[in-house]
Amino acid sequence: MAISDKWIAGGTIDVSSGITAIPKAYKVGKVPGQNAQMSFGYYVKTHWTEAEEQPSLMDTTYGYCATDGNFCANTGVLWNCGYSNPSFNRYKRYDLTSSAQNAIGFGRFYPDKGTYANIGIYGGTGASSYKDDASNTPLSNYLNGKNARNTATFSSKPQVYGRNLTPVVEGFSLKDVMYVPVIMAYRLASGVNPVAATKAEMQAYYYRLSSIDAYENVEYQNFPYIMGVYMQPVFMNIENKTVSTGFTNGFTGFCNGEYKITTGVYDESGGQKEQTITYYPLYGDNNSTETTLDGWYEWRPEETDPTKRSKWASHPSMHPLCIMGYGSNGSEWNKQFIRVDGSGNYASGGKLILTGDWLKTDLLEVSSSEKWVKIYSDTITEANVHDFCEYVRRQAAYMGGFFRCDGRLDLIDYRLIDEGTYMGVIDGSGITHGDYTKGVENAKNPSFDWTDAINDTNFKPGGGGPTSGGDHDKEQSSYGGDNFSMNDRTMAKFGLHRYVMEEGEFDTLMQFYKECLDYKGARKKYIDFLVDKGVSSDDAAELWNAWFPDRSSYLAQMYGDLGYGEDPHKNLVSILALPVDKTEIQGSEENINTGYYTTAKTFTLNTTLRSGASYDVPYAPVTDGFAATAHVLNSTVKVIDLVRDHKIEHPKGWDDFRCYEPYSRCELYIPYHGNVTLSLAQCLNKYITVQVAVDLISGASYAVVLMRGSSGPYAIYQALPGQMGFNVPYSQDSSGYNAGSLMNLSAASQSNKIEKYRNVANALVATGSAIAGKNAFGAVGSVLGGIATGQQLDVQSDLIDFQIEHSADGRAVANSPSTLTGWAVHQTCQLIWHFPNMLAYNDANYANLVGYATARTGAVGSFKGFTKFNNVNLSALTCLDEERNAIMAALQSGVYL
Amino acid sequence: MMYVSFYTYRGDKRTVSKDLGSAVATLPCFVQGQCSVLTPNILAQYNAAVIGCNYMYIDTFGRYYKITDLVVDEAKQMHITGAVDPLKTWDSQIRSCPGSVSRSEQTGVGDIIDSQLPIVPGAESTLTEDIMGTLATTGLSDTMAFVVTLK
Repeated sequence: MAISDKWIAGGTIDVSSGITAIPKAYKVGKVPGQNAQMSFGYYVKTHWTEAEEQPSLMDTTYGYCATDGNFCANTGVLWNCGYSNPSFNRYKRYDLTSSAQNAIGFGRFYPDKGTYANIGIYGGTGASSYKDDASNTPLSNYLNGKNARNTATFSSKPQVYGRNLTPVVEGFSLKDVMYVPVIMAYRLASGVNPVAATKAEMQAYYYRLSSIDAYENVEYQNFPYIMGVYMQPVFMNIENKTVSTGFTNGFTGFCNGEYKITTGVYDESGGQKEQTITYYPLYGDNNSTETTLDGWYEWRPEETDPTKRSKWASHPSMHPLCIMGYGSNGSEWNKQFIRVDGSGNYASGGKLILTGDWLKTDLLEVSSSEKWVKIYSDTITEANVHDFCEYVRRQAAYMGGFFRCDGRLDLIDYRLIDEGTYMGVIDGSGITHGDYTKGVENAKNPSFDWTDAINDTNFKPGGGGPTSGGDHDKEQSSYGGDNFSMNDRTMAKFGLHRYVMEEGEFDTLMQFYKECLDYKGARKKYIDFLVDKGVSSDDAAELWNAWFPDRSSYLAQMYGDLGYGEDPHKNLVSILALPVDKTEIQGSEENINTGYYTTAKTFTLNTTLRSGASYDVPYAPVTDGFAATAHVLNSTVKVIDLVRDHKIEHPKGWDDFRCYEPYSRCELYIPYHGNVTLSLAQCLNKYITVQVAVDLISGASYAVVLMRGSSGPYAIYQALPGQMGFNVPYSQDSSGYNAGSLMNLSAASQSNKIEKYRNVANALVATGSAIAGKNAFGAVGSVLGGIATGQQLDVQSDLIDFQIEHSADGRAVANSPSTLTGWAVHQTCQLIWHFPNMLAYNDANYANLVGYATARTGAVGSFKGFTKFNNVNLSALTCLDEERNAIMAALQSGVYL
Repeated sequence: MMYVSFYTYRGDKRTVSKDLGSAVATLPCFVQGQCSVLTPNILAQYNAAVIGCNYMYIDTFGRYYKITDLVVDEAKQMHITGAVDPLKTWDSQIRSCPGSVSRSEQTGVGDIIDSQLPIVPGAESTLTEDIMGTLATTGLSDTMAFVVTLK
């Protein structure tokens, strides 16, 4: 049974006096599921970049700063970073020879300050050496650093401002990264520093999974509300296996629903880029703006090979890495925090919403003015904690790499086959399924020995012969004839609305759908409260009004448009995921039309659903409609170039028969279309073009391989069908926003049940105080109990989001584990060369004893050395026939000239 | 009587223009009975230097011979048999003859497929090469676009 099946719906929790109840239970919020998947293929090993090759020492390189003493070897850094995660700084575009540039630095969030400090460059050791202006920095350190790559170990690397230079670039071997699941938890006030009463913080327990697993840790017995499971990459094995590092960002505090996270990335002017994250409240307010994650995207090593970028560098931006500050909690350096409240911001900030829309978690609402904290949560109890831990492990396994769950950061002890080391299983298609191996079984993992084939040194045939060949004409014929072409096509829309959406736009649409359903979810919260507090007849009337809010033009319009009692997702006909640039296929932008509803309409919700009640309405008034726009689809069949005029050149530099089959073989990999065997006789030194025509409605595609010489018309060489688009099942049945049984309660098919409740409620209203309180409570309690069952299920389904089998790049796939598998494979066309093992060819003995194959003619005396003739015209000889025969036999069997 | 020059040759017998060096000895010889120009059998006075020779030239026949046997009798006469070496005998004429070459030590690399170069089983190597040609970026995106169809 999946863990989600066991979760118990949470509710509202009074945090005003701290949490003391519910011992040995761990409240678990919506675990967002696995939101990322690594891109697989060949990982390029880390390597050093020679300083002399670069215009600037760190140009095009990325470095780590600070980690433990082994890596940074600077106690000042150590003091700052503790055991945690150094910044992933960008050094580019800075003149590091100028101390005023303040080029190397990183933000740091201090929860006890509620702000951030830019540590910047500093030299020396100890806390007193913190400098923002690097005035104490000896530039000679940097200058010495130019020779950093010439040394063999970290310990002997020169330092820049007290930090070793580590020009680690481009990519990482699978074995260079160890993931550590980080459980992001919401911990309520307990009076433990730095948590102040009635305030909340997020806390990362990346040490703690093993503790949960072992029932050992009691530190968070006051209920960490686990919000997400992040995968924190810990880099290791960079050179001497003593490297431990990760990512972290500064955190600038809280401002009216916005978090500004200092990314550790610098802009052109030298300032640290800030990443503004604005959080969505549960029921809408005016802070609903998109989150930008520029800082993460900026991690791309732009100057490196774009193919490498696609393999590694762009993916961290999609990973749910720890977007956390790091700071001190007394002596507990080994934790990461994000303070929700800042310093006294409750009073001025009003309602605080804590969520993370990069995780799709609309989780938490904290307000000082209300003692209620609304938490969508489930509960992990001792009975299912192992399931939870397994869930976390599987989430980590989806990453496909190595991971540990014991929180250990002493990476020197990390071994890939240690009992505590897990490894996600990657199948032959480069897809993960959440399975993992452990300990020595890792060595049997199919991907354990993945290496970089480009640097494969196993190739040991003769090793490159003469590049000059024979005297015959090797010029091959050109491709000619009529030019081949494919063109975009567009067909009628047939009354449907088709939009091209990015993930965020799609999420906005889903948010709209969700809000439609949330009104029902809100009611059930309301009901939940009533169960606790009892209910009067007035309350029941209010309940009725809230439940069937015919006074609300907004709800009436919404439900009227979308179909009252029906899942609004029914208007969603299909979702096709395509690995193409959105701008390639998008037309004009318009307001999203779904059903009869145009999202740009504005409505006003009745803001007073109840009056005189002693409890809060658990959702905020909606004063505006839902605005969402998207670009319409600009065509139906789109032609996309994957390769344009790439010259097929032999990678070995040969110029002889070994360039051709069977001594060389070449295949062309076309994403989503498979492999095509190229005849080298036809294609070598020709220019290849690959185009695909993709049906943007069905996802079906057709790839054509075109050839030509350096110019001239394109001739079609191969054509083969494929499937570039992937239908994402998202319907009432498979949707995570499916309101489940609550829908059933209100759906027409369940009208008798609805009617039953309606009658009871009406009776309560009609009879009013005439009904004895006790009996009334009993009657209502019974009714509401039934409803509460539905409510609970609704909460559960709401929290689950998707029954995730696997996902990629933040988009979960419902109930179709294979839907997006094709997407995870290599996105770039690739030539795959095969070379069998051959004996040495460019070899004096081979030449002298066997001779090179040729087909030349000429006087016998014009050849030198070992020569073997097919035939010789010996008619000029005046010898005897027997002698002539002997001469011919000798020449045909090989003579030395 | 004919004069026969004796040589010592240490090269490959398949060499066309054998370098025999200077004659070790040139002796007057006699034919024994009938004598073939291809496999002559001649008689000469014993000469210790000739014992170590393996090639001879018979001026009367105008041919070079490999010495196939040499027998010394009690009368101190050498009975020498040989086999003609047509390559050496006709080398200059052979060199002028046109021919079609199938294998050559010094030319021919890369001309045609060398079927005698064996492929060793196993240990095949693979190289992979991402290609985009003149495109600035790949045509496919790491970020999915969603084509959403709504009623």
